[in-house]
Amino acid sequence: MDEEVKYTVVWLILVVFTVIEVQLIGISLVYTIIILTILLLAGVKAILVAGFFQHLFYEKKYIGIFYASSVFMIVAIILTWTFGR
Amino acid sequence: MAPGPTADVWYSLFNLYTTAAVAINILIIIIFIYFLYKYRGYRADSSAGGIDAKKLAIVFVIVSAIIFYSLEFYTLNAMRFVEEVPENPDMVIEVDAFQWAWKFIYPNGTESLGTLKVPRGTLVLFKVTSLDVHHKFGIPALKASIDAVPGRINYLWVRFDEPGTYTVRCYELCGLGHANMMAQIIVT
Amino acid sequence: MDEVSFIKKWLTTTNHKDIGILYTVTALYFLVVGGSLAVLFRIQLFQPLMDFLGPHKFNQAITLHGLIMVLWAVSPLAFGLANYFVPLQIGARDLAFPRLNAMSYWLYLFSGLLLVSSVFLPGGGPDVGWTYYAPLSTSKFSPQPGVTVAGLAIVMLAASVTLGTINFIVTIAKMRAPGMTWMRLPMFTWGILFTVALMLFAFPPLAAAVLLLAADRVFGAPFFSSPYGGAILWGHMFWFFGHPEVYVVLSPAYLLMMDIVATFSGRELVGKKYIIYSIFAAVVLSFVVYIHHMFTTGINPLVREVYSVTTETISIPFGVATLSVIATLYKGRIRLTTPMLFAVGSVFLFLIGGSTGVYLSSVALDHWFRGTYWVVGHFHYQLVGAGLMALFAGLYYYYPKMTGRMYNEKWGKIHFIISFISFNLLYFPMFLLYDMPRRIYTYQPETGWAPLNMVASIGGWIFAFSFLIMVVNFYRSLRIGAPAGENPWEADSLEWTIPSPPPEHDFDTIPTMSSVSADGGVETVEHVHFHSLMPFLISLSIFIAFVGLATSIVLTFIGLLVLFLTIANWYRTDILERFSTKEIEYEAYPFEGVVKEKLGVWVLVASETLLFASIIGAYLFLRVRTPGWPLSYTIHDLRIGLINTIILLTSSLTIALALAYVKHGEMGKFKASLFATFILGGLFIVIKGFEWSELASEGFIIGENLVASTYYIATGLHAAHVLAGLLGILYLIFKAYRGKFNSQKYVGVESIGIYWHFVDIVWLFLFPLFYLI
Ligand code: HEM
Ligand SMILES: [Cu+2]
Ligand SMILES: [Cu+2]
Repeated sequence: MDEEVKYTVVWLILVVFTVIEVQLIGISLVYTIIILTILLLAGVKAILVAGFFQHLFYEKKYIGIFYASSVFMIVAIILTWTFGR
Repeated sequence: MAPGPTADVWYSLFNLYTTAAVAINILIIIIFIYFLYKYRGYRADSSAGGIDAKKLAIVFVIVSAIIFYSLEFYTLNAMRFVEEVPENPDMVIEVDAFQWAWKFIYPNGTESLGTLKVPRGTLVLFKVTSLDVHHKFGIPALKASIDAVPGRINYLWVRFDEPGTYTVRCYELCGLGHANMMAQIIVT
Repeated sequence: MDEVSFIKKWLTTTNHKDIGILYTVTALYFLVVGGSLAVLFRIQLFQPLMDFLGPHKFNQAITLHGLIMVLWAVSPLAFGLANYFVPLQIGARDLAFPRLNAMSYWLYLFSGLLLVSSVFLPGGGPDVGWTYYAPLSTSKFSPQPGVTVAGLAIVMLAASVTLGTINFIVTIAKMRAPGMTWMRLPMFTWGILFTVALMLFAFPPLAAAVLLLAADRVFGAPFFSSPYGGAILWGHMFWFFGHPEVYVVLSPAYLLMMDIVATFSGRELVGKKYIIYSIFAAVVLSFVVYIHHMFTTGINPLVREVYSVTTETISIPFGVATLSVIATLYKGRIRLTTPMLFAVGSVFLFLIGGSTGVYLSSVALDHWFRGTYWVVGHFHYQLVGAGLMALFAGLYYYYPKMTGRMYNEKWGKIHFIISFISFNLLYFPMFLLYDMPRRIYTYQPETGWAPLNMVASIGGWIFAFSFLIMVVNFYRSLRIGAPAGENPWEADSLEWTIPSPPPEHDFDTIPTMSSVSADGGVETVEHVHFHSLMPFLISLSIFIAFVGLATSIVLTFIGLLVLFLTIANWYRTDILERFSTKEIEYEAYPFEGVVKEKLGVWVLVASETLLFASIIGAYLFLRVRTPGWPLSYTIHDLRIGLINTIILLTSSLTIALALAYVKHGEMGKFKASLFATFILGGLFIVIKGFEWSELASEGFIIGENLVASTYYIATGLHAAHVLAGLLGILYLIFKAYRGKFNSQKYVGVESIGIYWHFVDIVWLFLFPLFYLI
């Protein structure tokens, strides 16, 4: 079945990314770069899970927009809270 | 004669906002009441009215944007003026707010509970903090005020141009003694 | 009907009209409670140095007054009307999930009772102001249990609100009658839609804030007592909710007012489209203005300048909407009935409240106004003047529809005149009292504030009394009012095309629309209303459990036991599909083909996202400010984190596969995948528990320091979500074994899958944030 293959590939990517994240800890690089890379990897993983497993890529456009609006809120929250000193 | 520059700035901004608000509201309310009166039980064409809603909306957005953003322009100017921490204040006073009183610490380290004495015309910089909960340090006559937040120091500058006794009050609910959390500033 | 079946009917009903009446009556009850408190503290403020309540009682009175009015009275009153009329206005026979709707109501009622009962605890109820400012609200400064119990009441209300939100969004999105396009929806339905959208994103941060506060109070987790910005963090978390919340209170009322003005002007609303766009803009903007409540905290000036500009901006769309209302009057056929008087009255008051709000949006002016009576004046003009008065208009407007009888018009008008005048007597002096601090229980004679306070108090008592005129009028008219007929106001929308009061099933045939009014009907499957005691029992048991926390732990166990049994019973009936209904979808743009349950889960996921975002936001806030925060990988065992991440990722894979298998009809593999998911999820929890006990044995416990507190709260909340997900999976397994799924029927798998993946995604962020960096 197509899905079996597709999902397994996605899963493999997710696992590999996770392992990379862990390996990044402790290598000698500017720490900000490490943090950003790790968060970027986490973001990509989240998109993969949402897109393929949660079928967001195949859903009605407006469900995606709806979901994106909560992401907008997150950005608003995290930016203002962290920097509103 | 205003008691100090902070009050001057605040009142002139307040008057500007009031002028705008009163003028606009009176205009709208007159139209409003006129319509209510004129069209009571009116029986002309009930669907059309002949209003171009789109045009009306656009014009209104533009006009009100101009009004609001010009008000905002004056606001930002005033804000920078009152928030600018002076580089060479005549006197730096530490203010410690706690449940339910104000402690003033003079530059030489003397502490005073509930009263502060300053000569008239001095530029005073208050370094305000709180030892327990959130308070707000406010001097009504000067329209000068800033929060006293535990763990942080906020700056507030004032100048008393008139001699007299000024009240300080707390403007943030801080418990049972909030209403009586007052102090005096004596200007000689 | 005899007494027993009468009580049984109201405890078990899931009919939207019954729930609407329950909401309305309960909200009016809380309005009376909140209003009586106000009458009391206006006595205390009547004269300088009054000795009537004293500081402790006074502070409790204002706190409960604020909480009740904002959360338990005005907004639920709007939701009473919404429950009754939104389905009617869109041409549906009920909300999308009737039992969840009953659940919302009972949670709301019991959360309110919990709040009120906190007064009887030792040390009294909450006395820290409705804004619950920390650190005053932490246990160091307010040790009495009443503060915690009121917090639990807020969490319970947040649960009620979240359920209601999902219900209304799905209902309005999916259950509109044929031809009921978005632009044909009446403004009131639009208002409710905007409101639930606001609630969806505003309540999770509130729930998060209160949970953190509870952890602070109960476990000594130093979130808000942290010297590194704890007080400011509360401000951010509370006002991120608090600002949208004031629009939650306003929007339904404000848009209902527009329907009423249109009806009594005998014409359509001018520029309806532009009004909708405007309010939409205001809804979006309302999430980026909240710093205006923190202008004087001394935080970053740039942030404050930006938020000052956004706040000025938000006045523009409100201006557009108000102007359209006035333009609607132009060349209309105006009838000044009681609802119309209240409606236009609320517009007047909104103008004043809005203008005084513009003063507050100015950082420089707000430096002074913050914490004074000017603010009190401003928001009462908005919440009571624009909001509550418009809802009164709504009550008069809909009274004939709900009861089938007319109220007494003369007394209606008298009510309007008295309340309008006394309202202004009550609140206008507050603008002139702009030197007087809010929330003080007494003041000195030499302040000169006495005369204005006297006027306000007298106005307040009259205003409170005038409410009784309406109650008596409504009560008497139930018997002696003239019959109303279908459409006493010659209004347009669908609720006026059916008898007053509407029959049990609302519409004989589902109406079809080719313009704003109905012009036909289609036959549809018969609609049955179910009865269920479970929503009531669940809410009651949560109430008992919470009361037990503050009094005797035995009660908590009883509550949890009843809760458990009720949920088990709910499971049973659901697995047997006793309640399944067949609804046909008509107008569903833009969600055609998306099944109700699935859309509901998506909405739930959006709100849960905000819950976790708030927790993570709080974590980042504290972390960047607290000196000496250790890097996460130095505290935690990376291997355990890694293993658990992979386990959870794998469980996502298996449940995704389960869906694929059931779609292809491969039932054996389908069941196996469900099982695998359940095992993996369980394994995750077991490992988590093991990890926690290891950490705890090393002295890493929740109240220890911020590092530990943030870790346990975030991972604990996540683990609770995994457990909830496991309950869902278990449900799927039961159903699968009863053969309730096949290649055509798999919504349950899809919906619970979406939730499970969401929980997985949350972990994908928690892992790096709490284990790696
Ligand atoms: C015209 C647009 C509005 C503007 C520009 C505006 C502005 C403001 C500002 C800047 C504050 C903070 C004042 C302070 O604490 O120092 C405030 C407070 C408040 N506003 Fe508004 N507002 C507007 C409309 C509304 C509406 C429509 C409502 C409710 C229906 C509302 C309810 C409130 C409440 C409840 C508070 C005070 C909360 C508290 O401190 O207890 N406002 N408003
Ligand atoms: Cu205080
Ligand atoms: Cu606000």
